[in-house]
Amino acid sequence: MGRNGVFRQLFVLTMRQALGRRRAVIAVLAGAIPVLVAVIYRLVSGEDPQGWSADLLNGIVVTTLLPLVALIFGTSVLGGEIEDGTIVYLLVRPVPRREIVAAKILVAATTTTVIVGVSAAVALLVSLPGSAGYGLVVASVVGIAWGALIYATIAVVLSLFTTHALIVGLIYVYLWEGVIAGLFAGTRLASVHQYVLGVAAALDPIQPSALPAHLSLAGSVGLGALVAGAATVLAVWRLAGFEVAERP
Amino acid sequence: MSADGPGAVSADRIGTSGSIYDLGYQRYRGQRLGRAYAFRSLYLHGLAASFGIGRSTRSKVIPIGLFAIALVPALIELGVTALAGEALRPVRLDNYFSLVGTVMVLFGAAVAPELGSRDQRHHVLSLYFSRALERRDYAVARLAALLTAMLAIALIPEFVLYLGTALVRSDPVSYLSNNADQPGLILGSGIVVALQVTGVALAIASLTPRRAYATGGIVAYWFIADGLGSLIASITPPPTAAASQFTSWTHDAVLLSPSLVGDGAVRWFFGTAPEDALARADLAGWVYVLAALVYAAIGIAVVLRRFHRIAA
Amino acid sequence: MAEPSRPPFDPSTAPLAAVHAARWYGNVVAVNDVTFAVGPGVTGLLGPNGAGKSTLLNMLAGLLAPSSGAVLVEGQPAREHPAIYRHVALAPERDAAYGFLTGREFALLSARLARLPDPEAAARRAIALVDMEEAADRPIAGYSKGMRQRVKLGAALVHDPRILLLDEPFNGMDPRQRLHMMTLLDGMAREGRVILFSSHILEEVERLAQQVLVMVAGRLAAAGDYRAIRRLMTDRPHTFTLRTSDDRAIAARLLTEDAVLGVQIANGGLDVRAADYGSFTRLVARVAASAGVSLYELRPTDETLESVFSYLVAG
Repeated sequence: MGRNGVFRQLFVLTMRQALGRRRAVIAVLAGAIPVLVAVIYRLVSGEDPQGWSADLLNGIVVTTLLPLVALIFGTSVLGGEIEDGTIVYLLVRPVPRREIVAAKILVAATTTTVIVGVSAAVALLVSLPGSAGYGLVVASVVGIAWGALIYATIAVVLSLFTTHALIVGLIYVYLWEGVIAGLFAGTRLASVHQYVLGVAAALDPIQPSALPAHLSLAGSVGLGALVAGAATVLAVWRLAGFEVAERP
Repeated sequence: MSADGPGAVSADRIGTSGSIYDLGYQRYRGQRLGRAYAFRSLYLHGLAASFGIGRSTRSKVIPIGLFAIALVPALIELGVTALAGEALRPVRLDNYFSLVGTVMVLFGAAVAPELGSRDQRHHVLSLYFSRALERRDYAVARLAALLTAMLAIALIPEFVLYLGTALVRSDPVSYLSNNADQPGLILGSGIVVALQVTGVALAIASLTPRRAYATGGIVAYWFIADGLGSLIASITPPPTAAASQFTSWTHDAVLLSPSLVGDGAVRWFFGTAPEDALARADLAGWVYVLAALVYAAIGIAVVLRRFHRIAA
Repeated sequence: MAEPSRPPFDPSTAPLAAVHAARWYGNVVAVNDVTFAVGPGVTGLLGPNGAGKSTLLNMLAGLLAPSSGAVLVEGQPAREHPAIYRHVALAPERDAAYGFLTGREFALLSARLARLPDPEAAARRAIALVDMEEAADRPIAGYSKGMRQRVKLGAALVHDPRILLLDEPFNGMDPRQRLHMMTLLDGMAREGRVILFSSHILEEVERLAQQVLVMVAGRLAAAGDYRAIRRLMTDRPHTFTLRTSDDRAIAARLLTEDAVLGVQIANGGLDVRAADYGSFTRLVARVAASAGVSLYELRPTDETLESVFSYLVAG
């Protein structure tokens, strides 16, 4: 029973926490919405499928669903244990803190990728039938996985610093990425949304220009890795010095 | 404290017999202020809690920060107008909600759980309901507190913009008299959108004791419904033989988007033409006002029902 | 300001030690300049609610950093050495649990996180230790408070720790379970383990602990064997019960002595309040001999932990 055994325990435990609760059901229902819209689109119109599919991807999946699901899971994988007090059971064991952080981030990123990725893939296959769709499906799922990892890492580190992690993360997503990045082009460098679009647009073989991406593939990968890496280091450092809440 | 202070009924502490020490506890003999006073207290306490007043500094950062952010567009607009005249008017009273609606929703997501979920989480509802307060009073006081806080965010920046615009001018008095209808429109439109956000936010918050679920639920509902409404509304069927058929039922899906509903309602108050998706939908302006009020009414009904039925 | 005094023990060898340890939250002081060492056996950490017991245990367990001073487990601060948890156990006071796990799964998880070579066997042993076999395969969410408490304790003990930090371990248990746990801990103490447990229930501490640490308002009010502590409290009169062949005769003699503060004839004996423990025991023998009265019984009546505790807490 080596190091991988402990990591696997933490991963399985966190997965059961993440999927055992109501929020998993809600997240799956939310994931059904892009599919519903795609079905309506196919029934009513079907015009300009590539342009509309890009709108679908950017308009609801990448701007709203992905950050929302990633932040909800990301702030709860560790934040829920802190709130409930069960974090103590992990901390009083001879387990390297980096394994706890890594397991928590990976569970949040995996569940987000599965829920949002499947949602995007099914919706795109409906709205963009035929081989044209496959390229965009692959590109968008890879982009979503990349974004899920970065958002989840940010969410985990936020949950170690504040009990209001979810609202702080949502303020970042909807004010910074949603409003400010639309007004001031320079802030797009610090927008996870743009890292997702950069990866997805670069990998889409058909119509890379349909997505409003402003960063190259290298930029999206490099900046995203920088953000995720820094957040992970910060989270491990913070957990190593974590103090249980004594006073309410 | 009574004349014979604590310890007056002293006894040998080491003795084996029991002894009772008078610690000065007394019954309350003052006037009991009743239901209206309890309601007012709960309302004022909820309003203060909305901005983190009476809580730690950390609890104040988010609500007061969001309030400050809602003021930013007005201040930028006033600064630009003061320096460069008013050639450009990107920030106006009729589009202010479309700029800061997101801030209002985030404010609701941050604050509504404090008002609607927290007491459930800490199992203290029974303490309220066992007082002079009735269940409905509790629900109404919570709604009124959030609505007042929301009105502050909806109205204060717009009044700052309105009065500031007058002051930037060379003749503020004539500006104010020429635009004497504006305060009424700000008030009317502000009340409608504040009611809509308040109803939705507190309804979702009241359904769960967990703050994180409430926050997530409010934001999820609002922005997913926004995306859903705009996307469906963007679908136009291909022109058929009847080429005049440019409109489609899908365009009416703007009514699913809470932001577009609020935007349409505000534009109706100020009498400005709708744009983009709202223009395509081509609905009468009052429909948005009605829709906003219907959302508010559903939310309020959910809150009242929830606190009427909840086991406490 | 004076240099903090050196502790009267070697903190690098004591299993558990605090050296001028303090912890404050803002301007609230939870633990105030505490110095002590705890050795093998059961030590009771006693104090009224809010005295700082949990803060102290959490500091020892490495879950809180001391604001000043040091807390050491086997000579090392636990906060910087997670490896120490191979030998240290903490059962936290807070009633927190993974409700979706069964008791057995929780014990197994704890065993695996403790990196035990045979986690299944360790989990079985832990479940048996706390007498939870019957409910072990039901989710913890459906447990009663006493069952949750026992599973928590079982999981804490899963790695057969040398040092046990138990925060209110008997909370919510019924008397029978309480007795079972006390026997268990007593047995572990006899094997040479170091057990520090907090409680505000005197009877528990009295039955189980050889040593006590008494905390009052964040400060260490007393440490050691509680009977010895009692004897150190010279400003408090000691009470004794005497049975003699002639209670009235000896009562009259005793009242003339300065060291005797009061005498009361009670049913079947004599209650005496004396200023000092040692001098009274010598005095009573002398007085009895000179009065020709036979002493049948001499028993101190306030050497219970309760009286010690109430003196310390009342100040």
